[in-house]
Formats: sequence, C-alpha cells, structure tokens
Amino acid sequence: MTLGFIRPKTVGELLEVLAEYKDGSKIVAGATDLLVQQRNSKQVEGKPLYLVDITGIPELAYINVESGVVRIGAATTHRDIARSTVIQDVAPFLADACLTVGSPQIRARGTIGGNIINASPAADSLPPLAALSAQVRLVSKRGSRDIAICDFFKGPYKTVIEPGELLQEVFFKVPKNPGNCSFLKIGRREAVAISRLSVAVLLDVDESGKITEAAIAPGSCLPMPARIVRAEETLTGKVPDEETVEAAANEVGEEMVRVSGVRWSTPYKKPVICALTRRAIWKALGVDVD
Amino acid sequence: MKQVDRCKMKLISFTVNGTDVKVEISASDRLIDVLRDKLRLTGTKEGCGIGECGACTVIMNGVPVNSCLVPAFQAEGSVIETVEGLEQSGKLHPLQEAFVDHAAIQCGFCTPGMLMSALALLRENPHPTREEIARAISGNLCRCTGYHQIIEAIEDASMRMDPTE
Repeated sequence: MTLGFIRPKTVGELLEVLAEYKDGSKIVAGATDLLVQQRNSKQVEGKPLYLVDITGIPELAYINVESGVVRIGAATTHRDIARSTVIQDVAPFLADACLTVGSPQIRARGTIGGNIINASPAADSLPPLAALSAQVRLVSKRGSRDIAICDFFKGPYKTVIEPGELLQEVFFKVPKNPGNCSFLKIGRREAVAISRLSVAVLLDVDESGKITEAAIAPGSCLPMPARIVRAEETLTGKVPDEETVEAAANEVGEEMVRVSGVRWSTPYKKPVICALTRRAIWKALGVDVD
Repeated sequence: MKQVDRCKMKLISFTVNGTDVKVEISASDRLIDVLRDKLRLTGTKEGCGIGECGACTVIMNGVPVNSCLVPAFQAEGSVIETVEGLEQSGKLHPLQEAFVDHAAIQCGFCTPGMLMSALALLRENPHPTREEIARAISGNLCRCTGYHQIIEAIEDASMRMDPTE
C-alpha cells in the first residue's frame, strides 16, 4: 500500500528522507519492476510505504571514467548505458547486456541501480558487472561503504542493503583488454524476454595468445551473481584450443548443478549453458563459432 | 534544510501534445490513468499493464515509454506526446496515412503504440533499415498483422516524411 510519494531534488534531501522513513520508504527510479509488482498485488499486504522517487535527482544519472575507473550512477537508464560510447569502448559486453533488457520502452525507464537492487537471478546487467569485479557504493546519512557486486546479494531478490541506504553508483576498473569480452543470452524470444540463460566472459590475452586472466559469470542459473572460478582456472595460462574451451565451458554447467541442484529444467539448461559459455569464450577471443 | 514535500495527492503540470495541463494525481496513479481517465485521451490503449505489449506507448521527453509503467508523479514537468497529437488540422500524419494505405491495421488496438514507437524512430533515424524498424517496434505486440505491413508502412512513411533520400 502506498501512503504517498516524495520527490527529493538532491542526494542530500534524499538521504534525509531515507533516514527518517527507513523501511517505511521504497526508492523508485524507472518503476518498471515496481509497477508490475504492484499490479501483481505483492505489495498490497505489505507495510504502507512512501515511494521516494529519485528520477528528479540529476546527480544520480551519469557515466564517467576517471583514473581508469568507470562510474555509473544508479539512476542511469539501460538505454543510456547501451548507447554510451564510453561503455561501448571500455566494457562493450555491458552495453550489449543492457541492450537486451526488455524493450526500447523499458530500457528508456529502467535503471542499472534498479536492476541491481531488484536482485533477480535473471538480471541482464549482473553477469557483466560480476565479470568486471564491479563494486557498488552504498551511502546513507551515516556514511558510505563499498561492496563487491558478488557480495551484495543474499539470495534471489535479496540484498545486504540496509534501510536508510541508497545505492549511489556501481563502479569498476577499465579492463586491460576491453575487446576480449562477450555477453550472450537466450530468452524465449528475442525481444521483451526474461533471460533463460546468459553468460558474460572477460579475458586478458597476452601477445603470444595465452589467456592470462579470465572472468566467467553466468546468469539465470545460480541464485545470485557469481564467477565460476573452476572455469576461469581452466582457461588461465593456456593458449585456448577447442579442448580447453570445452572443458572450461563444462565447468559452468557442473557448477550450476552443484549450486542449484538437479531441477526439471536441468536436462535442458546444463547442455545449453555449456554451449553458450563455449560460444561466449570464443566470441571474447574474436572467433566466430556456431 | 527545506522540508521535502510528502504528497498523497498533488497538482502536477506537464505538457501533452503541445498543451500545458494541470492534473491532480495520487501516488498510485500511472501516466496512462492520467491520460485516459483524467485528460480523456483514450487513444492510448492499455493492453497488458505490465510493459510487455507496448499498446500504451507514448513519447515522454522525446523517448518512447510504456505509460502503464510510469508513475504519474514522474510526469511532472515532462513533455508527453500521444497518438492524438499526430493529426494536424484534420490531416492525418504521414505515418497514419501509410498505416492506412498498407493495411497495417486490423483490430487497431496496437496501432497508437506502434505509431508512437515509429514516430520516435523516424525522428532519430529518418531512413531506417527494415532491421532497425523491427528493433524499434520490438516492444510493441501486434496479434493481427504479422508485422510485415507495419514495417512496410513505416518504411513508406519514412519516404513520405523525408523524400530527399
């Protein structure tokens, strides 16, 4: 139930409001999840809330790079990230992922902060952010703290954010080889599709063609974003060949079953996440495969 | 610090199809409720109400959005365009003419949203490819036409609106 709405104009005003209302308030940005949840009546039984709108705070929507660190304000839309030449240069797979969110209309409203806070296991921006070892900055009247993206989640749709806190921005270091990244997603159809499976791959490759660092983060197959260390270790230090890539990809399928267990969907999802990862690794290496 | 307003109801002002309007809204009103029920602009349709079908698409500050997913309070100070703004002095917009000529309308429920997505596309990209058109209307469902006529109509409208190329 909604008690009313509040539209602060600055982060300072916003933090005052959050400190006052704490869990009696809910931040709203693009509202593309919130209004769907409201329609599904999930909120009706809950505590009465003040909606605190952050779309009137220009200082929360930005993309900038300074001293090798990319910072994206929480209220930045998927549309703006997908279209940002900065993101296309420094983390093209994040731009790709944001371009697969919903539809043009949803991308125009939905924000990266909302995608993170909603904490859906199928969130499209989270696998690239996990692969980038991104961190989120939480601020409140008491101060601020930075948390690694993979530590920000407690489970599906649950995060460690405290009442009174604002997710202000997500930030990550510019990768050494931004070109060696990829994001692949499978949905039930091409547009307006929630991810059934996705994977983000970011590699660092030296002149000899050897993979010196690998980051592999799948989506929609684990309760929350995570890197698949065994898959990454399989690639690291190797000049990739079919066997190595296949072995690394298979580790992702194994990890999915280890963490999420065998489900009705496993006979489909396991081979498909392995194949998707294999393709994503080759794509990150600049090789076209089927 | 100045107290930030806590509003249950509020009189907000914004622009619709070039006209300034003032409407009293509540915290739970959506933009589509304001357009249809308060301003009687019923050209904008509600299909799914959850942002999947695009029938409610309007242009907000130059960008197509689902009006069923925009809280009304976010519309304050914005510039909204709906399908009612397309026709000028009794003459259909070239996009509307092209939709009629190409039989890109059957039941017509998706048409207002399709037109607004198409208009936003053509303003940004006056001569889109068929692929670009398909992407631009990927958030708009049509259960009648099979999309081919709609894509043809938008392609044709692009020529009618800017025949220079």
